[in-house]
Amino acid sequence: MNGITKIAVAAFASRKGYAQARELLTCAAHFASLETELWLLGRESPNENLAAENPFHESLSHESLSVENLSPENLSVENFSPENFSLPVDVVCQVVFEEPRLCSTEEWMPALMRLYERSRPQAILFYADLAGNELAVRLAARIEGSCATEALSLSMTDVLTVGRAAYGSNLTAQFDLQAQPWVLSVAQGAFEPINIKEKRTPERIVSVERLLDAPWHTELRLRPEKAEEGIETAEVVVVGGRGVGHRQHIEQLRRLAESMGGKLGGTRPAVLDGWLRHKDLIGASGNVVRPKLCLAMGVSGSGPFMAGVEKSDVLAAVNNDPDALIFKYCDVGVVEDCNAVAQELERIISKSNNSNKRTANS
Amino acid sequence: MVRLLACFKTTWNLDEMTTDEWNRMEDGRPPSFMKKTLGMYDESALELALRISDDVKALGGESELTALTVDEDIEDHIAKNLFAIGYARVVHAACREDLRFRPDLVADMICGFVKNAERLENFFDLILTGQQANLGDNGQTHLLMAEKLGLPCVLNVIDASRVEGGVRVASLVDDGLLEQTITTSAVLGVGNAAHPYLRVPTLRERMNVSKKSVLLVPGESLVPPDERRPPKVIQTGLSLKKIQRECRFIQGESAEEKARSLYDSCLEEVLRSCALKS
Repeated sequence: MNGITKIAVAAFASRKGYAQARELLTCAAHFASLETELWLLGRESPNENLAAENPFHESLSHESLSVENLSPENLSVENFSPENFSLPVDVVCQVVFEEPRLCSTEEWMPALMRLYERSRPQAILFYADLAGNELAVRLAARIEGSCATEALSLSMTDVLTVGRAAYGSNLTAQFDLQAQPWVLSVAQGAFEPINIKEKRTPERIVSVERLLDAPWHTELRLRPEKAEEGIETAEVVVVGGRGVGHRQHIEQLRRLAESMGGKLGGTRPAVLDGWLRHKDLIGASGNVVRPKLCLAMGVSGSGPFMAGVEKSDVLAAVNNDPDALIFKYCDVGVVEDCNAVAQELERIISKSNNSNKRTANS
Repeated sequence: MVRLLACFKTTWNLDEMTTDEWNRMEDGRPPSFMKKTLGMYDESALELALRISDDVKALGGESELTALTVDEDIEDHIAKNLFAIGYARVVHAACREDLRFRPDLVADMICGFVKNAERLENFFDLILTGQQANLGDNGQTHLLMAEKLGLPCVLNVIDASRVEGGVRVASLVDDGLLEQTITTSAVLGVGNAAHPYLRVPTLRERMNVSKKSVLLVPGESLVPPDERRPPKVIQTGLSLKKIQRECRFIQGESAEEKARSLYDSCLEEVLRSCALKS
């Protein structure tokens, strides 16, 4: 396989962005590129305490500043310490906004275009979350590249071949991307996070950007809404589907999840019925989870849902329909009323937990 | 006059397909007995356009709704239903090409339709479309339309309403719910909407539109020859996902018995290993 000369990996400068960059860099390694750039996009996540728990911040937070263009007022925003940088990249191109403010993803595009024009990589990778998919498609359109979103696999010969889900996540489709630059968004969990082996000393380029006033919208307001805390990394996930039947039974599932030390998510129908929040959606258009145990309660097993749980170590399902599709895809199945099983499981597990506590105390 | 364009496609409800039907599927076409329905997100987009139109009328304004599909065919009952619930025009851009994995071509045709309308001084204030549709699962059409038309685009829209000076749009972003007032023409990609299903017309409404017919436009005519481009992304393969698991069914006489058996034979060990790790 012939490699390319330059690839760029784009990530937001946040704790989540750091984890995503590690997955993207594993994907990037498949391109056998001579040079890897990290496009580090500002700091914009209002949900994250950047000062406290941001690995980028740990890497970037010390005194060393020998960077052109970085104005004094930005020193406290994203300082940089090359000797502490651990991701295997050659260049870090960082975009910092002079006056950070809430903006739409679209307003990032001028900065991205400048990043592209500066180094013209042959491939650019984004993480396939909501913003990443949008940026990938828009950037590809503007630089006349070819784009694939939600990439699950790739191989490279004369052309780049990308695999992704199709037909409501029931099938896998392969695509040849004819024209460079290739712009991909890489599906959540498609690649393992890259191992950090050694400290690196990448070149750093900072671009201080000014956000232009977008004339097409006013009164932007963000209502922060987090997914069930840690559901993406939880070891136990309980999922409620429409088969649960009623919102009050969702609360029972929440108690069951808590008794198991796990998290609760929902299928699209359960979310659309208002039983759970959008952020708790499990599936192709929501959270993709990789727990040791996923317990699907009252879930039919549609393709998009399975895309969100197929990486579970053990997948158990309870559904009163013996022909439910989920039984084709799970390890353990129970044909029964899921609420009755949930009630009994909660009783058994709570009893076991209490017994364990007593043993530990004595 | 507020002009709203809602783009949609009809597709099959793939959740209804059995494993055997998936295995027997040829040329990527579901069995012939399966009926096509509105795409899940497209249905939400069509309903959202109606709701915005309702708002406009409630504020004393006028609105005009157009529904457009780029496809090889359109089911008559779907078109009639759209007329009955308030769409003034249903347009079928007929295209025989395989559009499953061609969001670029679909976007080009929709843009061609929009530009043709603009030449007649009919400017659309909002263009709504579902953010993704099977079979292609592409999720790109609305973004490509916005790029081509030079319009702003809001993704994952879950609700919108007409307000003074624009349209208030709520959309999901990675950090939560973003609300903004759109003051110019824009493209909205509708996702898991607050009102996902299309309203149902009354019998009287159906009878009132029984003579209305779909406006047929050759899809090829919407893209001038000098703007036609070969695809940059070519689909080369399609395969069933491999099923990696084999289900072992838990037996028992009652829910309690089955729950106990599930716990003993499966859950206990996993939960213990998780507890040990923590």
